[in-house]
Amino acid sequence: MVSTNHKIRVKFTKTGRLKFISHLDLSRTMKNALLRAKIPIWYSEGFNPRPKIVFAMPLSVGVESVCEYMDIRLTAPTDIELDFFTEQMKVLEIYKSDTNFNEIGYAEYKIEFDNEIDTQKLESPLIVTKKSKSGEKEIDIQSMVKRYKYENHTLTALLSADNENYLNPEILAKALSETGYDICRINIYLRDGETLFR
Amino acid sequence: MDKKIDRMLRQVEKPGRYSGGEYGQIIKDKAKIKARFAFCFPDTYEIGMSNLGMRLLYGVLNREEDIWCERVFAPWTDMAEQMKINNIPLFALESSDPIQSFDFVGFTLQYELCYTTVLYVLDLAGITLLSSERGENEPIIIGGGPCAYNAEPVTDFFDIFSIGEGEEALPELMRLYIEMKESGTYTKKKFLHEAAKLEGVYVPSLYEVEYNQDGTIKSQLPIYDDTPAKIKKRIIHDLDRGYYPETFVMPYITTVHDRIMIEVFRGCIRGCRFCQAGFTFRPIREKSADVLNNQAKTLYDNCGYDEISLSSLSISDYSDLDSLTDKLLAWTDDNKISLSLPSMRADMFTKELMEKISSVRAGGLTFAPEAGTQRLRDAINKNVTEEDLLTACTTAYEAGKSQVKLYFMQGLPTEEYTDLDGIAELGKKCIEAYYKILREKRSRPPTVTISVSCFIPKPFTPFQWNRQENLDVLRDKQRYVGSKINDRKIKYNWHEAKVSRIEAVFARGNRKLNTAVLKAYQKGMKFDSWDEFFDYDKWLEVFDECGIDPSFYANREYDVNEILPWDIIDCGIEKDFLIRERKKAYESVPTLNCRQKCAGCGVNKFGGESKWCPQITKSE
Repeated sequence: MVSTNHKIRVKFTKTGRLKFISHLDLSRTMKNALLRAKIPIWYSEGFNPRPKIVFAMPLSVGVESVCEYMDIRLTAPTDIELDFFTEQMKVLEIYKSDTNFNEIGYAEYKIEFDNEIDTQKLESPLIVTKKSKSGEKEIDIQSMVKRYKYENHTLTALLSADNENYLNPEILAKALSETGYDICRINIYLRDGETLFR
Repeated sequence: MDKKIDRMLRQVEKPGRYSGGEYGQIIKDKAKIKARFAFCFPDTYEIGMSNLGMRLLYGVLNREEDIWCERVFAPWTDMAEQMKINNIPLFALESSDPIQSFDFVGFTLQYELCYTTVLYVLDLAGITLLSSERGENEPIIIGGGPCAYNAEPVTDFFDIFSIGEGEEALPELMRLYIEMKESGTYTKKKFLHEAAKLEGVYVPSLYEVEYNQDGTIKSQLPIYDDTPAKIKKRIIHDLDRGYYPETFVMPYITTVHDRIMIEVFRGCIRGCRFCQAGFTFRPIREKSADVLNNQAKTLYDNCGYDEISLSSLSISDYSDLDSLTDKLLAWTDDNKISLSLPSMRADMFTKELMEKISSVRAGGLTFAPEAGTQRLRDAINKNVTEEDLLTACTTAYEAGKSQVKLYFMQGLPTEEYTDLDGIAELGKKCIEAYYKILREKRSRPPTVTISVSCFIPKPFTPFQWNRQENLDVLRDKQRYVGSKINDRKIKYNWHEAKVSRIEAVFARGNRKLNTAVLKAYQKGMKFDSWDEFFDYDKWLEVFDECGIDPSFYANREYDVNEILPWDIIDCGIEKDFLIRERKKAYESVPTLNCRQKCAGCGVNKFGGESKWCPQITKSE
């Protein structure tokens, strides 16, 4: 019996102009790129076959990333050429992994502000109201920032990113500054906050 | 990307519309470029991206090493606001450079309601709206597409119209431009005059129109004697050898019709009397199945889409359809690529075809009977019988489909209320046909969607002289059809009659309407094809202020001896043929299709050769 359960993990970037597309759009774009590369994607049965593509974490529109992860199920093991993407959606690595996205604990961001900010705000509880589909919720930003450093208008911070406590970096940026900022996700860690996720 | 633009994009909805950078886009080195072309579909990115004409011409122009063609679309109002606040003029997607610095800005005019949006785009770009006032260094504004067959209502804003198929005409124009610039002989005026001598090029400023007392046209004459009195449309003679893109620019955000499109053939053998496209795209030119299959495969390899659409006016009339679908299915099936064949006629819909195209994806089926009774279908020359329709539905139902969509028009010439009864009856019969198939094959309750739009008389059709019914009659007929549909399984959609009326004004309009388009834009009108923007009362206000009576264009029966605004264009169809067809319509007599018998439309003499028409063999 031929096994059709070949799961691979793709690590890729989403930078530059690509920061303006939504997560759903990214998913579609990925699918197109994989089809171009003739990767044997597994499709579900039935009237409307769908591929099985899972992303590690959502990324808001406007945020860049150099450490996006995506798992895809294939029908056969395959060697994959990496040059079918654009400059801004570069595939860094493709490999087989045993880890699960549930093991993710933290995400590290580099936030470049247009102006000076006062990081003192992070030294004590920083409450903001988060609006979501289910209503409003109060969250304490300070408790979700594991560690940070600030230099030259740039804040590098490790934010809580597990399933239950995901801190959107824009909430942090907006709480610290009234003017513009550029955010890039640079690393992902396990729940210990020390080990890099792979 | 410019930081200012970056910050602006964070303030707007769907910033992906303006960010560019898509896979498949063409980036060139400005230092090597002699002419820059900004190609605009005057609507949002999501609507314009899939336009086949745009994709074709983008590729054709970019094939030239010294020409760079970039894309630009109409920014949504929130982005326009941001651009004004930040003083950023409209820029092209590939380079982010302002289009006011380009050599040409080209618009594809797909529907009349885009005219105010054209002005909106020009204004946002900082380009002077009126050609007569435009500076020597401002871009040359060129228009093409279906509306160019009667572009008289917008002649004040365009320097050039490209009539017919632009794949050869546009590069020729650009060549002329580059040559004149390099030899030092270029002035805009001289260029336009030389351009007017090229086949398929209409330079409106070189033609003068005079009117009679009653508002009809007295004369339309060239100012100079070295430009043609009538502009002959351009056609590509051999589509197999003609250009077709090998890759498409792949949008990041969701757009309409986001799939591989293969253009199967141009023109139509049917000659339905209301259909402009069928006539203006004649003579019929098919591509061979092998060429098409290769084009599809190349696009699939280069793009990564999993859906292929066979595009044409009437796909079931393609003479090699079985061979084409077989060739395609040989590789699409395994790769889970779905094949769609829109524009299929009910009388050609067979079980075999059905099985082929439903191999991967499910979906409803659409047919366009257009009229509710055989009598009216004969009059409009839509030669589909009730039996054809019901057989097609049954075939679909037996294959597991339960949803059917039917398109109709109302307000057609010679129409009576009994014809409208026929629409509701056909819907009912389709539902009945469902329950006649074996119980085991019925998966779920059937639905029939009846979609009725209003007849709009169009240039170059036998009905070009016919009037559109008055607005209150159109609306009354819409209500009437609705009242005859009493089955919950039948859904009824209708197209807003007020929109159709404004379309009818411009479709058969003359140059006097230019002032109305300008005034409408000055009053803040744009995106007229969008429900949330279209304002009928405002249009009436505009017409009133300009001293224009809209019924002169929409609701007047034009005289067969009148000079029509589009008489200046030669699309190959002879007026006598259109008059003959119109007479037959009034007698409810249909005309056979081109393959059955030549009706003498005249297009086979186009270009002086009679090689075009399907039943005329080369030995004749």
